[in-house]
Amino acid sequence: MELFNFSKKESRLYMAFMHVTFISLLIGGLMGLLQTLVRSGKYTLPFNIDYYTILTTHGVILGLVLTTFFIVGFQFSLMGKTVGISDKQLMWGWISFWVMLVGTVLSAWMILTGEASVLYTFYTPLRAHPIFYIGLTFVIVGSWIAAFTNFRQLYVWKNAHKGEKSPLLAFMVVINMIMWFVATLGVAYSVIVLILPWSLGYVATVNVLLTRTLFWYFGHPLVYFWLLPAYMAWYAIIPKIIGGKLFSDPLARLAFILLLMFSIPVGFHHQLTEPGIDPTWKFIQVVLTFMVVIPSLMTAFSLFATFEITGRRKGYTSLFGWFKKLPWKDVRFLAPFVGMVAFIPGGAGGIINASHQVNSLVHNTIWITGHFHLTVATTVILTFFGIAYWLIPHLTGRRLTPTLNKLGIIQTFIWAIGMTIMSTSMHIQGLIGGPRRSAFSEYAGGDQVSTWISYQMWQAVGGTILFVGILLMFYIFIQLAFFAPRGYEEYPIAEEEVDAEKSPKILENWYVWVGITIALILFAYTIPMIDIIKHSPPGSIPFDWPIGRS
Amino acid sequence: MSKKISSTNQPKEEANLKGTLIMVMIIGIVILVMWFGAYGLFLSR
Repeated sequence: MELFNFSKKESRLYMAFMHVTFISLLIGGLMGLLQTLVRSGKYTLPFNIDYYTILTTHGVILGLVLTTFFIVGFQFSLMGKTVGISDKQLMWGWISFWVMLVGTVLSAWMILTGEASVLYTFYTPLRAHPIFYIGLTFVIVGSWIAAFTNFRQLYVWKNAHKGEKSPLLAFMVVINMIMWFVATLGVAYSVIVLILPWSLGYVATVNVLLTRTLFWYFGHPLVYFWLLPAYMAWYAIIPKIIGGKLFSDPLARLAFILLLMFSIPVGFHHQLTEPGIDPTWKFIQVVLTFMVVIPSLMTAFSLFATFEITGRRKGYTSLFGWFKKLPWKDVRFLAPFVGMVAFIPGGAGGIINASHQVNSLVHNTIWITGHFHLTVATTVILTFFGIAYWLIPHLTGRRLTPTLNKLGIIQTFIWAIGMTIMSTSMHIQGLIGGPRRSAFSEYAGGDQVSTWISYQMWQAVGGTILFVGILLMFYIFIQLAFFAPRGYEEYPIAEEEVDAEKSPKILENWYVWVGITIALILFAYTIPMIDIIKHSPPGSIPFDWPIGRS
Repeated sequence: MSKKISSTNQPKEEANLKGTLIMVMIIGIVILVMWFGAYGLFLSR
């Protein structure tokens, strides 16, 4: 397998994305801490800062900014390593970075000045300042530039390597970016065509159901946009770190193709209580959602198989003896492994959320918040941290020293403990009816409400522990970026077995997989969309006062 | 007459993946227990 060395110019681009990522972690994490403290009922925000301002900052900065910057930067590095990058493509990489950054600054400015406390879902008819929506559009357009640069990178490589299969990681990046592009078309249409003119006052009303539906057409694949880079590391990087080989190249490719096909036509499972959508189409999208279980379990099987085969080759013969041989003292493995473990209850919770009847048990409760703090804020983020421990020093020409490795292990434990406390108490409080998206309230002293308070205290405890973890991670990042000793840190990419089976050519037939994806989307959305447009109630005028805008 | 088996035609030795099978089963059980737990709660309310 041919791997490219990074030039200094390249490393600078990938590091630019990492700087924004870790600054976002610090700001967003602080907002999360403040939220849990407010919800404990023992703390009030100073300077008249509104709870929903910090809630929006937390969601947008961590859910949209941190993730997108890390993913685009990491994926650029994967492409640069496996298929190379030209000077012109590098320039487009910088353009994408700056467009995304300008968008982030514009949106952040509006959120922090209290002009856009509409949460990261920006549901209408709450109306934020138009600049907030313009900023979001810039972030999306910037990520599209990155996507098309990635497509071009693989295209150029394929032309120079006729008949060869594409490198697995480059294939995975392209799948993720195709999914991202197709998904963001929905939210871009919603923001540019429906919300922005309404926010500017050019149109009087907006179709609320249509904007919410277009948001969730994007919102669910967004979850997979976060998850697939973690899967990339699990499939193709972790095996190298543990001293093993790729379990199966075709299995990994097939799992990614299935995730592309079944992550988009499923947005209705976020809208199961939404009036105005035909229940038949909700049912169809729930069925499509459950298809995602297949590639998820394929991934679990593949990971355990990699661990077991590697351990057995090292001489362990008992049923679970191979487990002991895993490199538990290497944070590059430990952090993603804890993330994988969190994905077991996280994924199981996701199946509960997506089931039509059981969803009514947890819908709009803080169970949902607990769920995505397990999936994105543990599984995905611990894997991203696991990547950062080798990626940052590789880019800066430094080393992950034994001391920093040890600090990373402590960080992983802090995260696991903090999140177990916070997420578990969120799940339980949700099951007894505690709402999500709400500041502290005793709701005029209702009996049921009194059962929630102790869980909110536990969330503050967990949130505080997590913030300590964020401070430690930020310290490790600064060390790896600027102060760790000079040296070489490996960019670990697993190789195939010498006698690995050939990958079927059909797996790289983009026309087939993108075609099926589009067909599934048209099947799942065309009729309900016509319904929503034709039979919606009158549109809504904007509402400014509920979010403190007058 | 004894048959000669060419070494290149020998089937590859299958990896022992018993541990993997059990681990994946455990994940399946966790999913089922959580789902039916939530469903039971749904029915009881």
